[in-house]
Amino acid sequence: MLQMDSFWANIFNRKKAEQAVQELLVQIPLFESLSQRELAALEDILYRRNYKAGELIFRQGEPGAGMYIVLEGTVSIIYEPTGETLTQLSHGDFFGEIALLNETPRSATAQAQTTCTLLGFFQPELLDLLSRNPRLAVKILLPLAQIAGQRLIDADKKLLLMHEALHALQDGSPDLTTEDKYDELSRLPLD
Amino acid sequence: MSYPDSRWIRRGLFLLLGAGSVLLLVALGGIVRLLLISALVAYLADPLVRKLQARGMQRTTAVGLVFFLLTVLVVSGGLVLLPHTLAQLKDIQTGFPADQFSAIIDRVERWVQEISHSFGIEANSLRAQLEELPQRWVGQLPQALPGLMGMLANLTLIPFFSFFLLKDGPSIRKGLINAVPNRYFELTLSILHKMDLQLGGYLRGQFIAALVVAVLATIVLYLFDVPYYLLIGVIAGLANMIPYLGPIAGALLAIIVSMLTQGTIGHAAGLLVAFVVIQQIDNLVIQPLVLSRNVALSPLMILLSVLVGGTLFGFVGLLLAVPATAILKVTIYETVTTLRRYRFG
Repeated sequence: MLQMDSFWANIFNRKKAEQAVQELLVQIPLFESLSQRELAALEDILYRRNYKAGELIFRQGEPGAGMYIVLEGTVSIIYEPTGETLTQLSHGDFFGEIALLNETPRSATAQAQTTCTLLGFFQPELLDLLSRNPRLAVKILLPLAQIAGQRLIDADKKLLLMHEALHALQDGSPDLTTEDKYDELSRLPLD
Repeated sequence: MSYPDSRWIRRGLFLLLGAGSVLLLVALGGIVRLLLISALVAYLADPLVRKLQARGMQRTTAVGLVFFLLTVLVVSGGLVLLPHTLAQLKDIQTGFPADQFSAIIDRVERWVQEISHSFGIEANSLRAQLEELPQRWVGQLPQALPGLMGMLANLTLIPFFSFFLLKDGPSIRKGLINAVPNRYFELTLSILHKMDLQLGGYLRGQFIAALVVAVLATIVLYLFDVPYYLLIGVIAGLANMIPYLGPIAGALLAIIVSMLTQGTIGHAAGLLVAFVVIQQIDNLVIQPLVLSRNVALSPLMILLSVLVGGTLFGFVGLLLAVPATAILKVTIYETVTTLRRYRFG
């Protein structure tokens, strides 16, 4: 009876864990348009990785293979060589999504701040999904392209503001509008 | 008291583990070979399963359908071709048409004697040796019988293993990658992905090209009325997987058999032209269509790999030597390149 109980408990715990993962996934902009069944299919191709506190997830400059979603714990994103912590990510946050499109070098280092459990979604799996289930892959790729496009717009805006601020500094007359631009610049995302 | 560095202990343990794994693989050689061939079959069939999955079919159903179609193809092909093949094999055992055979042997024997004399060597009688051949083959049959039974058992096990490797392939792959430590995880994913890109196209392309060449060669040989057309056609297709040497070997075999049986130069010349045309079709039409990726191997590397494969594993080794060398080359290249990019090298 005890064995039966633990058997059912095991099944229910697994179901609960799967549900928790799917609830987390649907909050991520990349996956918000996916149905329950599609989320389950996506979960099948995700890698669940556990990290000890202080362990490196990836290093700045290394080629990126894909994105990570924080399931448990805290992750620090660190800019090298200064060692400055750019941000700290926790449950439900995600990072490295552009590596799903292109194997570009990582722009910062990711390190586990506490014991962490991450879900990894990688380019080989996305490409594999594209050949097996193109409809689902396109539903992921479209918001990914939108995120990449938004990043490009932000980067353009940032570049323009920096350009204007640099000109103002060269002219030696940083005025009120220049300070406003500094503020705006600091509010823009770093990557 | 000083303790050895724990890193060295770990490296030593890894070495021991590696050596143990190699020993285990050697000890289980037969099973490992079976699994490797099954994995190759599953790998070749995987794109078909994906195509069915893309049409909304569940993987298990898709794998079942692919295996059902393959079984129908193999069984119906076997039912049509096996009687011909067996008849042709029997022909080889009983011998060529006696009078033509005798005349050609006499001619060849005269050449050999003349050449031997000019070099001051006494040649043994070719006729006597050739006449001994069938008896020698029949004599060896009882020893070969257990091997044949084993081969039959393997032929039943390969589809069985292939089915499960194809069905559970993605979860097996995921399980193996999950076992990789965090530090090497992305690196491993990247290497495997690049190897798959390089080798998938190459191996599947080689297989399709061999199949097309076998069909074309069989048709040509049938039209030229060459006996054993089916066997020679299949051998020519399989040999096509060996660059440079394979196509020549296939054509030579066909021409020799044609000379031995029909004996006319015109016939042989026609066959030579037909095989050159098949080669051109293969090089200019089939390979560019089906070989999405090519693995550049130098002629010296090909020759060496064929010699080593043939010496170690016989006929199968001869055929699989070049694909195996390509796999090895891509594995080493991709591992070293990716390791450098991840700053390990």
